Amino acid sequence: MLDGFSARPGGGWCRHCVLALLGVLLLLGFSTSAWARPVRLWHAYRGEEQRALEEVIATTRVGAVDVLAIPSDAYAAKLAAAIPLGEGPDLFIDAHERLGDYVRQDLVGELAFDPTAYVPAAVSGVTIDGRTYGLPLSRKCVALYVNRALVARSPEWLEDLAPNLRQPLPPGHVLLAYENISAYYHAPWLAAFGGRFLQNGDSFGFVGEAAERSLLLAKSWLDQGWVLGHADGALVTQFFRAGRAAYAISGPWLAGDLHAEGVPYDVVPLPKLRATGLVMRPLLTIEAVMASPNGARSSAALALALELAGADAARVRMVRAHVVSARSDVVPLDDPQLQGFQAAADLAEPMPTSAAMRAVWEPSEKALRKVLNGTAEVRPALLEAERRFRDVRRPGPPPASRTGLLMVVGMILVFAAFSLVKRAREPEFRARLRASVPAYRYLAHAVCALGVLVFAPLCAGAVIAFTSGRPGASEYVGVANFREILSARGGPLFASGSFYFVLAVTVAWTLLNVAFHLGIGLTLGVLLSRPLLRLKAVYRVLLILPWAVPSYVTALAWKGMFHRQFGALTALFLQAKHWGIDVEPIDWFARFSTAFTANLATNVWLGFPFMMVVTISAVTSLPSEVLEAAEVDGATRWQRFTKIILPLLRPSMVPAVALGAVWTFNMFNVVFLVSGGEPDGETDVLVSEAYRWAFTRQAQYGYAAAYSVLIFALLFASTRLAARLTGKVVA
Amino acid sequence: MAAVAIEQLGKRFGTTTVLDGVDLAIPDGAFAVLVGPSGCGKSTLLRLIAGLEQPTSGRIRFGERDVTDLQPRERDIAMVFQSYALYPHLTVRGNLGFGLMLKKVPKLEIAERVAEASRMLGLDGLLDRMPKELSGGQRQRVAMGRAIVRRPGLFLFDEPLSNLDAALRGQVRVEIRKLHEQLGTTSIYVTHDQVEAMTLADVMFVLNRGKVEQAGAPLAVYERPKTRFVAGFLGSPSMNFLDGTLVSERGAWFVDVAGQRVPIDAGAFTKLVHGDAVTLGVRPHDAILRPAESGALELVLTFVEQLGGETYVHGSILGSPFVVRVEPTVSVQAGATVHVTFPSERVHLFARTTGNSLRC
Ligand SMILES: Nc1ncnc2c1ncn2[C@@H]1O[C@H](COP(=O)(O)OP(=O)(O)OP(=O)(O)O)[C@@H](O)[C@H]1O
Ligand SMILES: [Mg+2]
Repeated sequence: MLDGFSARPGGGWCRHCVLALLGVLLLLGFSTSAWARPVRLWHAYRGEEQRALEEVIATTRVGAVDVLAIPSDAYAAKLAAAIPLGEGPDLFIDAHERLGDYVRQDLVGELAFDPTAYVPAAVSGVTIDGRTYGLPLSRKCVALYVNRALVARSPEWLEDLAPNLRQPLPPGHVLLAYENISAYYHAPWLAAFGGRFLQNGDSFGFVGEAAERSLLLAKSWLDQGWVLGHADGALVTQFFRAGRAAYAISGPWLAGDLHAEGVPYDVVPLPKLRATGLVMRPLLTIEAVMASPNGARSSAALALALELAGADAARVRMVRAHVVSARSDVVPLDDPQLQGFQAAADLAEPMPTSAAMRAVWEPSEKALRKVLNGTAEVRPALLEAERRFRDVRRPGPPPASRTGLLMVVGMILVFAAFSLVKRAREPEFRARLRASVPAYRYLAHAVCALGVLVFAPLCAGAVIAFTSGRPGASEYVGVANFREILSARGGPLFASGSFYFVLAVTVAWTLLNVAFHLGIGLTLGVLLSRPLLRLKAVYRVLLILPWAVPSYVTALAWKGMFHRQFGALTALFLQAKHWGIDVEPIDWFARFSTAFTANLATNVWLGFPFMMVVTISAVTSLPSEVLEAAEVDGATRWQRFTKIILPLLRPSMVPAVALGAVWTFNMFNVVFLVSGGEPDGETDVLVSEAYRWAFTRQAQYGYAAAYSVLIFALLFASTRLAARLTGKVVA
Repeated sequence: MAAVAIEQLGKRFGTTTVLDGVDLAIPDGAFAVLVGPSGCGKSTLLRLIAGLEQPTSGRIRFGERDVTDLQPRERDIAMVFQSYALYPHLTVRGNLGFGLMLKKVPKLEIAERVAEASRMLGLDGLLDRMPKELSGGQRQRVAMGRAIVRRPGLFLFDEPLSNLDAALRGQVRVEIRKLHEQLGTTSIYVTHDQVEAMTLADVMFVLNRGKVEQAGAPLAVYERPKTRFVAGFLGSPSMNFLDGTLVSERGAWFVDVAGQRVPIDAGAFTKLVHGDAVTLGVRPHDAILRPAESGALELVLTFVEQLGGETYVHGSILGSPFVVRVEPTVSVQAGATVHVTFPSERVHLFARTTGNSLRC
């Protein structure tokens, strides 16, 4: 029958329809025949852990298993998208701290099991409100790495770290390397004073005496040069691997980077603090196999989950991937490192599963950084952090009545219908419409594509801006989000983090960037279009390179250059000192001016090639005789540039500048990656601020969407305004 | 204002030699025309004089001043470009005043001089328009005005009329000549149109392949072309050429053109050698049609071009194309065979090997 269709000329349409119909039927067929399909398992493992999992699966008695590895950064989003549609996995492996969110979004089903076989901490980690939502597999936490080449004995007390050294550290070495500006790594310091980030009842814990003392201790260690400053994971790895750190605090991931290297090391639990007698308890992550609501009802899935969490599988993971098991009945191997991690895990405290935990990190980290930078006193910084936590945790706006909405929408519809009818009444309108039908036919594809890819998401975003937009509970709240933003959430209108402050920073950011882009781009473009220049093509390629490199790569490279201790700039300053020029290395991200400058420098580097390329092409198309006429008329080189070239370039530069301004206004990569908003969120621009509301502060999508709508409105209004102004000037 | 003297000027672009030892001497206040076929290097020569290009060899002098190494703006010149090269972002007023503004001439004086130039050129109503709102002829005038306003010592024109239609071209040509009479500024004018060259020039330079073939007053050059190239280049339709051999018989000289003997006036020529290969040249209006006569050459007509005031008959003599101008009243038909004679004093002779004229 299909053949019959395709044989007919012009039968293409019919055939497509039939195929589409068949496709739909097939899909339906598949989803109704769910009982026959293999158990679907998702995970985000890599390397050894992935191989260990595959080995367990290979010997399963459950039957067919469909395993899918998902990149870890997209993992939660994929789960949240797939499971509600019934397309997701039956089982998935994830960290227990996400369970709180998953339970709220109905992404997991309850999994009952016999808790006696597991370590109590692991069981408590997967328990929410008395119910268990996953079978614990493994435990992960940070431990103390001890470089045996430099250290005589593993310390039991924090105060013994230095005394236990074999001899004083040579220059270029540090005593302890850990990610000291990360709140996660500060948790053990806090615990040593009996504090926690999140107290019972979801109240903010990083405030009060324990928090203050922990900060003072961390700062004194930093100030005495015992701790590697401003360290991220890469730097810690680099130092420990090179044997330049006596100790490091890190997780099993560091061991993975150390394997074949020559540094002899031990792994031991974090030490105790003599001042309090308490252990530096790190946060514990429990990896668990969880079940989607569908999976929780499938006996095959349950059988597989039990098998994965069983003793045999735990042994495979231990042997293959050196993972600390969550079971209490698995005897650790005779492997000192694994035993070290196990001992560390036994002391660790499970990360809270409460959604409030996600609101803890950002304010705590900001306070931590400010104190370590020396730009804030301890107590005010912590009080501010608590205020920020409360602000983020504030309940969303109450649902609003829909009558206002209905009235506005109704009025718009009536107005639209009215004007449409009025237009349609005009006879020539219909004639024109009929005449342009072929044009519409050609445009239809593009309009559909744009509609689906651009317009629909835009509208969806705009709609979310009028809802509370929190996962699980999203109601219409009217313009409450906008009101909150525009009233700076009731705080001072021009304080760091308020809409107006961020807007001012964004505007300054845009203006300065575009000025530099234009200045440098124009100058280079004009210079490079001089016909007599030698090796022109080489310079052009070199200068376009910054543009050709992906911007996040550039941003990360520049961030590295601005590192306080190990950045290229600091090296340059030190070199300058050798030559007798006295410049102090700058802590770039500790102050607004320098952090903003660092961002600016990066983005200028990224942005000028575009203006340069536009300039080159515009200059090349300038009529050469006009320039010669000016030359004969007596214009100097500079006069020719200002009086002829610039005015003639203007028409081509105006759209480029408008485009560049919009790009810069929304330049997320540089701000997010270079300064990351430091210090204290002051260098954030509107987009990165919107991002933080959506993704680091309790997923307040409604609020973030309102930000985006405001950004869109601002850009739209200002480009229209600019177009009108320049149009007037040109005319 | 100054005389222009150019000595042994050469210009190479890479390996191509565009100008090869050009000498020019233009008296102060003269209107000089550089004429030559396309690609002979006229524009290049003009751009060298303007300073827009640097010569490979030779010197350029304006009066006593050696300007060879000076920038264009230091040479005190004004140039009218073929494309007019108006500043697209300035009004006519702005275009006219641009050079003065750069020189920081007071505003009032600029306004006066712009007004004066626009009166001279009839630009009065157009001062506030943009160049794109002007017709071709108006643009041309603005370009001229821009040059005049500056009161330079030397005007340079690079085919300023080539973008105009024939009628306008004739009109502007007359105006340019008048302006020159008024201003008396030394001017160098480049064209490949020999009518322009003939009508405008005080002194004319015919360029060919990067060399000056002949210089002099236009009529003198027209009447006594020194080479076959100049003879053929000037005049429209151009001179007819017939190849032949010199024959001397009993004191009388002839050119034997495939058996037909054309008598020549031996006194007008030098270096006549019996048996030499020569080219005989006759302008179309110097040839005379005859019904049939001994000693006349046979012309086979191919077509007749009637222009109203005059008629050109085209044909060939022994295979070489030949044109004769006749009165419009004469009736001839394509395909007919007629006879042609020419007065011996109107005949030009060129050595076939060198192309040089044999006239003394
Ligand atoms: N910049 C250049 N590089 C290389 N060759 C050039 C350059 N400018 C001109 N030429 C060559 O020099 C020769 C003379 O050019 P020029 O423009 O002077 O001719 P012209 O006499 O003005 O011709 P036309 O009547 O067509 O304008 C041409 O063969 C041209 O190809
Ligand atoms: Mg030319």
